[in-house]
Amino acid sequence: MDELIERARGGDAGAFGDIVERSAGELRAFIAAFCPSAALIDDLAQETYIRAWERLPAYEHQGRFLAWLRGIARNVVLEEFRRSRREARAAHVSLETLLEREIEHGAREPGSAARMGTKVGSLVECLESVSSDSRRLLKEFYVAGRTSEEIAGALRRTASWVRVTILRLRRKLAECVEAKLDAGGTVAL
Amino acid sequence: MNRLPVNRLPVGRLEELSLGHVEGSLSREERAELARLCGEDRKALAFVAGEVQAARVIREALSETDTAAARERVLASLEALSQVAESRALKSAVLKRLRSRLSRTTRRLRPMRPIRSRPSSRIWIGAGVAAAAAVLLAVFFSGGPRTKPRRGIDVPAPARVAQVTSAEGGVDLRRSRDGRWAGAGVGAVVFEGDSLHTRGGPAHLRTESGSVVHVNAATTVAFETHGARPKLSVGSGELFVETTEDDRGLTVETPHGRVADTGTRFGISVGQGGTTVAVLEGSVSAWTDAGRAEVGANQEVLLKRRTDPPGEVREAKDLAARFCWARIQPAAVRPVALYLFDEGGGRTVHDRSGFGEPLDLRILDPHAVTWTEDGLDVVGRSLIRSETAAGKIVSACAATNEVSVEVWLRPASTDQIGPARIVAISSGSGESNLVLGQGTQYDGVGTKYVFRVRTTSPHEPLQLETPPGALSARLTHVVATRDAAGTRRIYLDGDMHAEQRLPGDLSNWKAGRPLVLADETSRDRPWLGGIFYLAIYDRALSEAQVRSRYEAGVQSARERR
Repeated sequence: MDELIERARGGDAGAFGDIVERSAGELRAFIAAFCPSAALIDDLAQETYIRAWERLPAYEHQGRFLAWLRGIARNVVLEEFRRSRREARAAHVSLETLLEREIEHGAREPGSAARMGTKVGSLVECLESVSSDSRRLLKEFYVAGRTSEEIAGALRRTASWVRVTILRLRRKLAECVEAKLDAGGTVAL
Repeated sequence: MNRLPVNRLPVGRLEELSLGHVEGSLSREERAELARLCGEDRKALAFVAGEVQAARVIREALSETDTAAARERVLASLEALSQVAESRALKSAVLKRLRSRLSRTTRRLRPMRPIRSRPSSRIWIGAGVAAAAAVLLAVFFSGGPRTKPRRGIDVPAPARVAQVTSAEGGVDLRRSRDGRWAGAGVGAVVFEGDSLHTRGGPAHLRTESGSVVHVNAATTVAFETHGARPKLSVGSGELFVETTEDDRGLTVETPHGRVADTGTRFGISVGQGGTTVAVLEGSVSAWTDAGRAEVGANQEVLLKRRTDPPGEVREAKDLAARFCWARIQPAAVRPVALYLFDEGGGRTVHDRSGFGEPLDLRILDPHAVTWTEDGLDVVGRSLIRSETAAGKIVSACAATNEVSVEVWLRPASTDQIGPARIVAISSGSGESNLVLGQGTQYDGVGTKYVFRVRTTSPHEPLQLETPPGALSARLTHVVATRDAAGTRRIYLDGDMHAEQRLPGDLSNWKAGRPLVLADETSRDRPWLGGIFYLAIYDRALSEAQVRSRYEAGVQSARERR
């Protein structure tokens, strides 16, 4: 990675492309944690990389590259928060607004990028450890956006079985993340 | 369910409501309850926000993020960036290298590499709630000590043969690994050895090489491979097949004989009286054990028994009508959605395509638009969206693997970026199937058109952009196309301004997303300007067709003056 960064600092866009390829999954997951609309993840990740490219000459090897990238992404996300707030000053505070404010509040806290990066990394790692059946169920629910009723129909189960199973999986993942955070370790990249 | 107090809140209830919120299934009363809980208790709010964030991360992490796509997209943007800022880091040598890299063949998707955690004093969902959840976990998992999560064991999958791109009446799949039938939906992958049965309506599948297999209702098809080509077996029912060049040699077995494709679109009807093979385009070879027949375009042949030679090859009439269930496209290109913006007032823009159920658009902010003699001026922030999902566009385009968007428009200014959404098939809570927009945020340049098409390509969602300066605040005919081979083009006033090839297909388009104009459903990519005509096709318009449509539009405008 260091070699790629060095080449990219020298203007090698291909090397920067390799860096993007290596880090895009983690960066997108990080942005997703803050981003209210999945449709914007592409835009915000893109913006992050372009800024990173422009700032690469100033990057020094004192820290991990991904952490540096997350710092840029955090600023991009905060700008997006500011922008959307400016454009939509709703008099009525909806549940969504309340939640987005809470997420934004978390993003503004000092050190939030590093903390969230660790959490996201742990969750991604924990997801790797679930069984293939559970993974399929999570994908149907979270990725395909199918309701528990729809999944229940396909699996010939009840909707409440689907909901309880997903709740259990969520708890299992929360426990796994907690255990990883307690156990400690180092973040790659 | 066990419930533990967290500031007197029932955690179980909060979890249920959070899940319902993520699922989007809460009733009005439940939403009000969740809003009240969040408004009254900060820990509850932190818990629900944590659940929302976790859901987003899970969604992204399980979406099999295409890292190669991100790479190519960034590289393309850097190249575009260099065009407006030569003083920046990119020099001509770098650009050469960029172009070289962009033209390379696609790389295989590299799976996301998990990162290892490090110590942190903070926990994922807030101290109180997490502690309670941990107790609940202990109850749920037999009360024993925490164990390390067990790594799932994935059985190696057989080769993929096809994927269901739409199913109008439901389908069942029998997996070769267990021999059991189970319901399946759009997106289901058919592996070698699997069988598919259609229930009340046709289903449409795309093979790994891009061929389209239409399966009529009440038909059972077994999917095998013969060499590298698909081999389909049909006991009874009806198929219509449109093959790509890579699938030349695709074969279909029936109880009465065998058919080998030689580059064509053909239909097969299997009944008690035999198998009828009818060819719409190209030709096929039809065999029985006793002989062989070559069947050309607009011809058909009957295979009665394996022991009998094929019947006489004869002219086939009204094939498009006979296989209308397969939605065979007539030679003339017709839009699957068409808006003329000639209503002159009101909040509804009518779909005049005559294709399927009308997909009318609703103007959500009527005070922000002005009806003119020629169309609709979006003068303020306004979302115009279809009242229902754009499923008819999605299924039509997924079946052909092609799409075109044709718009007559006038941007209000040249400083709109985002890309500002002119037209999109997009959901606020999900990614877009398609976007035609103005400007790019990364370089702040608003004088270009941007075209994004979601595909299965490992390089998706690389966006196609016109050069900066191509867009101006004047009446313009814009056509963006994507053909089955993956070539995307943007035409302005009949001339091509951008082109790029990106393989893949449209089978991952989501049918539940609406057609939106002038903004995203998330209301954060507004576009202002006039829209005078919008047509969406399930075909890639050719350069000649684009030119012809541009000239027809100009002529029409002249006649109106």
